[in-house]
Amino acid sequence: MQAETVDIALSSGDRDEAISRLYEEHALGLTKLALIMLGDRESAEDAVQDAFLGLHRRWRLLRDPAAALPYLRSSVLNNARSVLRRRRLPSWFAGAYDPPVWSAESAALLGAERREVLEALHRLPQRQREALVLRYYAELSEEETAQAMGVSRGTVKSTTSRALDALGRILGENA
Amino acid sequence: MNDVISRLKDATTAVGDTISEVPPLRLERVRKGFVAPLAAALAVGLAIVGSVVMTRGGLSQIAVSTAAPRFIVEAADPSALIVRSAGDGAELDRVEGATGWFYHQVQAAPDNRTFYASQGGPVLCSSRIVRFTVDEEGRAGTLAEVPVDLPDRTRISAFAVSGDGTKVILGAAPCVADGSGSGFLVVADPETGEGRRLQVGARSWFGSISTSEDGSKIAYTTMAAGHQVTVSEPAVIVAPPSGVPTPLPGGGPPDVVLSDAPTPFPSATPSEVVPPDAPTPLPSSGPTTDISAATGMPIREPAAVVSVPPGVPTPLPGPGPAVVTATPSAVLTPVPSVGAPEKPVAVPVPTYVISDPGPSGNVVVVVPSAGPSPSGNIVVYPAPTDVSPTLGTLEGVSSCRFFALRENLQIPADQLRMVDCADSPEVYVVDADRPGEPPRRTVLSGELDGAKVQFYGVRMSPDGTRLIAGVSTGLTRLDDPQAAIMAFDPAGREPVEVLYRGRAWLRVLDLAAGGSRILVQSEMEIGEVSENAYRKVMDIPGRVMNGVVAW
Repeated sequence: MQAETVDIALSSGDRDEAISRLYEEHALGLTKLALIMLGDRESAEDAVQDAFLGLHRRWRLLRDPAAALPYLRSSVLNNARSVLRRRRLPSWFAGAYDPPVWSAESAALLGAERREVLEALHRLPQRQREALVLRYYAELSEEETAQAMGVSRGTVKSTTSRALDALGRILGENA
Repeated sequence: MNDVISRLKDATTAVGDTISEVPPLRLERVRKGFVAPLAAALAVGLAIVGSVVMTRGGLSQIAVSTAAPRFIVEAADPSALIVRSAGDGAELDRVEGATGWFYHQVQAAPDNRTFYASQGGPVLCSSRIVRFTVDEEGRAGTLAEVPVDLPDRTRISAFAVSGDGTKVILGAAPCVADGSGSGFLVVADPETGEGRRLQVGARSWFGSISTSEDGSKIAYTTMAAGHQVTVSEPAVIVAPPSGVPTPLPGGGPPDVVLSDAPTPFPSATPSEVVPPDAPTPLPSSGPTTDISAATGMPIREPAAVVSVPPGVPTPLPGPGPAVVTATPSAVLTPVPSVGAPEKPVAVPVPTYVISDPGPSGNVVVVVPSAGPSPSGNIVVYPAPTDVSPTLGTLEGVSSCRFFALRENLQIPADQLRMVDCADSPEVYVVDADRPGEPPRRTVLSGELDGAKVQFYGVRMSPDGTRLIAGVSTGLTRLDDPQAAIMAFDPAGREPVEVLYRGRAWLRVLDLAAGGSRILVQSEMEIGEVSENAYRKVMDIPGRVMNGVVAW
């Protein structure tokens, strides 16, 4: 997945149309990103819908059209964190959700080796996981990753390095 | 390593490829799998709260509300509280204080209809908490005193109301500067005054206090009493706007010491710009007289203003004194807003050496000025002169400033501006259910885009597991906001989540019941941050201090 750019004329004034175009171009990519973070499709779709809803609400505050996509990425990540946080609450708060696509129930979809990688990825701390997914799945630059995570570029660099080490260790242990 | 990356790319791409289409865009609230169980839990909770209310005599403020607050109460004027609409800031009512009593801080109960305010009285060490309610139109009822006993020789310097409305938490600080006093947190039932006292350290002023929903976890910031601030060149006081009443005729000396020193800018001396009723800098060699502490009366904030070249980073608060270099003076032009001086004033650029000999080590205010002098006119957003400062805090001298070069009376979006008046990063957390345990000290730290942040308002989250803080690198541009609201883990110090980013400067003022709506100061506005969006409530003339507004 290549880093995306927004070339839409956001200053045209037609908020709904502009957001619809953004959705058309980026919703799938963002949903895939959320799916990797969350594991189930329904939560991922909700995280993305919520991000667009937030953009719709604060549209008039958007000073720079190019900020829309970084905002959406950041918002999707935030929403995913919120979902994961709720899942750590007692079950009657967290609600029910499908098992992750890399779970044993869904293993047939991916194969054992990929499942192992994804399980290892989800054993990492949240920030490390986000850094790896944004850098190596979404193929964002360090700068874009920093913007999406709300951290510095240096933090992205160090976090990514630590995350790769940790992921390698986990996968090595499992080997 | 490359193998790990390859495997990671392969696995994540495979997961992503399990979906090939998305549902249509829905620009309304999306489904929430957790809503039904949450509603059920909420219903159970409300049933429990209802039973509590019945057994406690129907105190309506206990009912937890997650609705948007309708009212803001402001304690900007020491003689009266102002009830405002939370929608547009319109004034709805005023609550005059009793003769001889001055309002300091205000807090809201979770129902957003019951409000508490702290007052300083006419007698040495006298202070109290009063309470009033507002009706659906924002009209205030009569004041009633909350029956809380304070430890001897202390007065209230900050307070909070728990998110469930069942406790008031008072920060009682020594009011007699003889070195023998101790600071206390008093946790009390607002109806009966019954509660307990937690001794939290000697000679501590409380900057701000916040609590978890049930009042069991308390976060507070402190300020060393009797601290000394040395300014090696004259501080320049921006004249208050005409017509702004002085809280106390003649005022009182600030609770800091400002020392005179030779200035390289003889054309501009403090006497040229200091209004007659403004606090006068005192020689540092003189005695430190904390009149405000002794009288419990409000003082005015001396708004030191210096010119700062754009591009110079703000040194972070640190444990030691900071020295910065002077730069030439510049002509300052007032911002055409309430609270700004009416005439341009020539301002020398002082070199500040500010130290904090207090025990907490939590206060260093640094005014950087290295580098070339800015050219052209400088717009200075002055510190408020009509807002009662939080007594006993160094905020009394660390004025809040924005600097911008002006082009055609506009602030360019890419103009770098400096923001100061940061709070201490040092926060103490107390478990009120474990009275024997000492407060846990946390020094917050974080980064925004590679730069260390400073802190602007810290509040505890309703669940007691996070500290919610406004942060900024101290340098900001309208089109590249270097500010955010972050959630910190008190144990880990590091930020765990960025809750909001999008405004050039943010100070957390208050959390509404439930914690999802954050009242903030953003530049010269009071606004609301919720659901990752900012909404302006009202314009303000200057800085808002801790505890001055609540909802």
